Amino acid sequence: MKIRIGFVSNSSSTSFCLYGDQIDIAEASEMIKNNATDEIRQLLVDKQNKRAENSTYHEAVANFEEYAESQGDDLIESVEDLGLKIYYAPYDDYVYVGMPYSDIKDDETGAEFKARVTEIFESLFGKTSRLGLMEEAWRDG
Amino acid sequence: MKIRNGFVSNSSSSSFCIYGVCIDYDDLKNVTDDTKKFLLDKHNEISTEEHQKDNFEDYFEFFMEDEPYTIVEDIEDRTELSFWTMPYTDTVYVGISYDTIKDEETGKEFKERVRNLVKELFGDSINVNSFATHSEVWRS
Repeated sequence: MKIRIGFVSNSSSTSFCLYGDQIDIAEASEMIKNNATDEIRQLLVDKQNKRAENSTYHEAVANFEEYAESQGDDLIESVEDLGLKIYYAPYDDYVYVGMPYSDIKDDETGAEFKARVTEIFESLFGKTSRLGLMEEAWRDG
Repeated sequence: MKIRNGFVSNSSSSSFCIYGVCIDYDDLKNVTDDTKKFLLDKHNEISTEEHQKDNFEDYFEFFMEDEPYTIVEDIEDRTELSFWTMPYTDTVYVGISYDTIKDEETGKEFKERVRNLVKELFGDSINVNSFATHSEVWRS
């Protein structure tokens, strides 16, 4: 049994439990530019253009290269358009990217869940064998 | 996007993400008769004569006064479920961590497994509608 001594209230803390990987922020954009599949490139462009239709804050783009250029170092946040989550580690040079275990579907097995996450992950970042359990607790502020 | 400002290192914090229920310590008295007998027998087996208890109610009251987490520890020996207790509150989370879903088990089967284990322990005293995903962060 795990007994927790001391308590950080919900208002100032959060946590995650993902199936995914750590990605070096400095390498993230290049990894995506070099490895994203054609299907994913088009999907990201379509989503960006959909946002542009609904908000003046976003600008439409002609192709993936233009989209990547417009996002700059924030290109890594494209993972959220694919259903993955991203968590930044303060004071560190990497981010956690993956899918919360609680997102497993009722008709999906554990193995199928991992395969689904792996497929999405690899369609953006390229082949990897590093995916696994990512679990952290954070205090905000 | 969620940006976390500030970081509690692993050495001083922990978290959980489970499927299960959130109950009060007092709800632990609603375990099945089999479990009550198990708890009482276990307690009497390891206790000195002066601390032996005649019945489950005496055992429960004795630990609820100062050491309710002892009841949780004893119950955990009888189940695959995990328990998380919250300091300064009467809250106990009962369930199983999502990351233990088996490769051949579906999400639905996982949730059914948790619900069945809770039923084994508490009978029908836990409302089936109270099952949910619970996530908390703790600083040690």
